[in-house]
Amino acid sequence: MTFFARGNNPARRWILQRVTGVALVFLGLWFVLSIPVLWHANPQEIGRWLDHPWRLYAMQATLVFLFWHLKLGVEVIIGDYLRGRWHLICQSGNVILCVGLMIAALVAVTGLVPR
Amino acid sequence: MTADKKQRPLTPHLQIYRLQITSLLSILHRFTGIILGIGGVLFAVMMIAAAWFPTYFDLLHLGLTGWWGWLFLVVWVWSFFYHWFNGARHMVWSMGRGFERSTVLRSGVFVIIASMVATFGLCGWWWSTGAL
Repeated sequence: MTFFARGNNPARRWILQRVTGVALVFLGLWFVLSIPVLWHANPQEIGRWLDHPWRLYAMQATLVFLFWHLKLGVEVIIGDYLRGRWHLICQSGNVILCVGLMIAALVAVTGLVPR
Repeated sequence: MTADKKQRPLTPHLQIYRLQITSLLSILHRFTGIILGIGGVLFAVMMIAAAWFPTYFDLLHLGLTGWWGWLFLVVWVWSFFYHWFNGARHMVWSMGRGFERSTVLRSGVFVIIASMVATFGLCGWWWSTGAL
């Protein structure tokens, strides 16, 4: 019934929310400062910009920690406001969406870099 | 018993408590988190489109970079800085410090002012230098 939210160790999730948050303190700042480069860029320009010793790794790390942190946060919100069947549906949807988008975006940004 | 159960309010019990600066800031942390999440999902969708669906990328890009896109970006950047500063405030609490009543109020006011200054500063800089 509450497979996704309660079978877990709450203390572990509390720590993970903070660990991913600390990572995003730096990665998020870097991402926000990169917005002007990405705002008007086409796929080729994004790929060329990512083709740099550490930029692709920073972008991959940002995507991992962003969706991990998002999943944990939304999990808590759903746990606070929903009960019963909708709780299960939303918790499952949250995990599937966050993990799915994270993996797809990771493969996408990696593929954008010219070979 | 069952009727009683249905009447139970859900957290954060907005039906019962008067909104104070502490509870307002707490709700704003969730609210800005959701806005940041929407932005993150949009970015992921754009990267996926850029890699595999170039036609849709152009269409989405055109649709997202208008004045409404700018408006969302400013709200998103403020959400980022608010969540960033308030997240730091939460980290201090997690280390067991800053719980005095006066400190909680002062750090709360600091978070609001700092997030606004950072947002106006950064967006103003982008605007004035034509970076966007």
